[in-house]
Amino acid sequence: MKKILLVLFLSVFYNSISAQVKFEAQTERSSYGLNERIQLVFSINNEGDNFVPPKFPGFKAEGPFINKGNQTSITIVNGRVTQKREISTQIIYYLTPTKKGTFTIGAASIEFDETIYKSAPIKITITDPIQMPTYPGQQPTNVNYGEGIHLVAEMSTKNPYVNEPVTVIYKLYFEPRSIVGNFRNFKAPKYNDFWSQYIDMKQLRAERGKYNGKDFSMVVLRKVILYPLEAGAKTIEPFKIDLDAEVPTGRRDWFGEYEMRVIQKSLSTGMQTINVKPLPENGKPEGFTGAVGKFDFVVKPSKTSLKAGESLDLEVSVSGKGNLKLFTLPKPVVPSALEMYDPAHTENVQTPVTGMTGKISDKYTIIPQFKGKYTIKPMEFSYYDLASKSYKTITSKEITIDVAEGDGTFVANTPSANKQAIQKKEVFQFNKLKTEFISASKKDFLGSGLFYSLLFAPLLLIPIVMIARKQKEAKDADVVGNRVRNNNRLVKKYLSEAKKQMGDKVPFYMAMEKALHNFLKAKLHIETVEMSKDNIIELLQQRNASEISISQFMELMNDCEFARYAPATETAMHNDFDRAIEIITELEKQLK
Amino acid sequence: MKNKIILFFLFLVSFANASESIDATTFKKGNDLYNKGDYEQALKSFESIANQGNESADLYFNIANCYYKLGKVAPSIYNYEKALLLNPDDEAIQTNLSFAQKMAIDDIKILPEVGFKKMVKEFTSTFHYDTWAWLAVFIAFLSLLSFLGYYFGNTVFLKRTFFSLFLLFLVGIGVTIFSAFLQKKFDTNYNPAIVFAESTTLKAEPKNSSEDVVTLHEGTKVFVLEELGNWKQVELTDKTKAWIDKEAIKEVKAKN
Repeated sequence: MKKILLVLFLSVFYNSISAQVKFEAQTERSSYGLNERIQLVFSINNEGDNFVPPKFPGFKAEGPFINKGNQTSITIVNGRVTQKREISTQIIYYLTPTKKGTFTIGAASIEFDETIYKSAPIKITITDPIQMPTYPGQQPTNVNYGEGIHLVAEMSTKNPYVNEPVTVIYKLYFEPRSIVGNFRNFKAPKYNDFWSQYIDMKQLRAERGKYNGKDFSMVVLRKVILYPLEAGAKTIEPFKIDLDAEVPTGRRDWFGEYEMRVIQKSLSTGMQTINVKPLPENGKPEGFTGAVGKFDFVVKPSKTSLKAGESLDLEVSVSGKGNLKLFTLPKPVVPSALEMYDPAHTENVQTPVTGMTGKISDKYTIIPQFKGKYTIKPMEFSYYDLASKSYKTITSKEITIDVAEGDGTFVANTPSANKQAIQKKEVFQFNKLKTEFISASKKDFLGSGLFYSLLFAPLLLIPIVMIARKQKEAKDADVVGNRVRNNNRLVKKYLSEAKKQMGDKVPFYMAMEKALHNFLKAKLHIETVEMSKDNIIELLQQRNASEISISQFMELMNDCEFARYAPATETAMHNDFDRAIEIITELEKQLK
Repeated sequence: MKNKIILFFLFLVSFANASESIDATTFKKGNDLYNKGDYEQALKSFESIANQGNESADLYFNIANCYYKLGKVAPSIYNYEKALLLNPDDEAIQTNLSFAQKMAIDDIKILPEVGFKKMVKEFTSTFHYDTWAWLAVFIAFLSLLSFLGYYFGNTVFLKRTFFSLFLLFLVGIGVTIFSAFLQKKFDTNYNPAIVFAESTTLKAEPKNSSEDVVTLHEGTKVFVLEELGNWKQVELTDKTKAWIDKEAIKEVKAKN
């Protein structure tokens, strides 16, 4: 307390001089022994807010303790009285060194009047423990008190697989003669990268145990089950605890009993490293979701035959021992006509020291919408068996659900626009009983040669027909040619015999006469007996033959008659023949 | 010589009849087995007919029914689709197909086609393209006859009537040929396939490292658009396009 007052005085002194805000850190000395307590004072000559302490590396700090000072000084100079009021604030920490060396305590900061003030860092050197001065009547401080108390973390394995349970038991060993108690400041690690579960000890009970071959009393403080979540070297933070222990001082009292002394002790297990092995990649099943342990897998429908619109429950469950809470159950795959809702997940898992056991299950509600037979595919569940160090896969059986016709109400209410709603009466159709087979390798007609020829033939025929007709008309229009052709035809018809006899006078003119008669017979429809000249002329006139033609014809007939008995030359015969042709042609035209 | 040719034809006809009757017997046998509930054996009978290169909508329908009864989704839907290709208007096939589709896991939206293209498609799909072709040939002959009627008709009325008919038939030829080729094009581009793999993941690009688009299950119908290496580009009924592993699907039009 003296010291504090001194400091106070000093600070007040300073302040009165500078009269400005000052913030600084102070210790009594700059060098301490390992077993000494250091008083660190941050002082400000005013009120401050938002004090931010520095870090205290290498020290165990207690505090802060805040001291507020209020001082009024009265000064009388030459009869003038000045009154000054001083405010000061002190923030005090008590530091206990934990190791030797030179440490720097960084700057602390404080805010006053919207300005931040920082203290200068200070250096402290920690030396070997020094002999404390002994005072009469005071017990010598025994630094070795409490050496016989150990906090130990026992691990079931330091080299587990991912998701293999690791049990950590925190045990406190102490000398059988000592008494421990008043456990406080439990500082449990956070177990990053692990799934952890505490098993709290309902009652701490001392047992006999051995530590380093010596007999000790032992208390199990806490049990933790850890499931490593990923592979690699993982550190586990230390478990720390403060306790009071009554330890023997090594001396005896007046009555010969061991003299006991209560000491405070902080214990820590220290950092520990667990080397987590990954599960083997070799033979890892496709649907593996990380289950490790030993399990049984069951898929069970509540019923397999029901009406459309009714519901059934499908329970997918895994039971056994392993990381039950740390994997997902496989999801059933059902046909779209079965409406499946999100599952209700239930966990019934106990966690004893050996790891999780129990059962987890997903219960799906399924409502078939339509009549039919539906299959729910077999489901697979894979896990890594720690006992046999291998992957195991359990496949459930295929489930067939027989859905009968419902009462229709549900189906009607379901708006399923994408489904072709099957009418109530529609049933699965039976096989076709009759059929006509065709060859599967049938050739296309479209695009084949036959197609094109059949298509274009009629179209090509159109111009052909047109050309044919055009040619015929052209022929009809050819006058000279027509005459020649007509003459030839008539000659062929009536004068062919005469032409044969050309040059032989008597048969030629007989043939000529006969030809003329034949022409008349054909044209006038008369018999040879009726052929008098008058008759012929009359008939020809009736048929509109011209007078010239008639006279020419008659003349020719007479000529033919006379020529039979008169000498005739070859030229005359040709002349008569041509005349016959001319007249017959002329008459032919006129007698139409 | 003539006699020999006739004999040969007679032989051919009788041979064809014989093979047809064998198929008919097998078909009947299959139906009997099916009725007894021996779907496996019935399936074998039906498939033996198909394996000999003969087909009919009814045959594929019966095969599909067998698969349905055996609870095999993908082959069932596949054969119903095959039957529908041969006989698109059969109600029994459509009904049973919808039963089979309910067994399938995926429920993909069916986006209907809209607009002019749909109208054209509806029109051209009235007939098979070969039917259209025969129709074109028939109308070509009709147009020839009407032209002749026009060309040689000797009254104005006849000439007018036949000429209008002739023009009408010419338009008819155009429409039928256009429809035939359009329908053939639609037919070629219509390439349905059924997913046979129990579950397969469709990718945005034809490689395994590509982004996943959607996962399909057995029995889902897709339409094949392109092929590249081990991948086929497919379109789903909701018009999603993605690449699928070639082995995961079976095209309905593929020969067995």
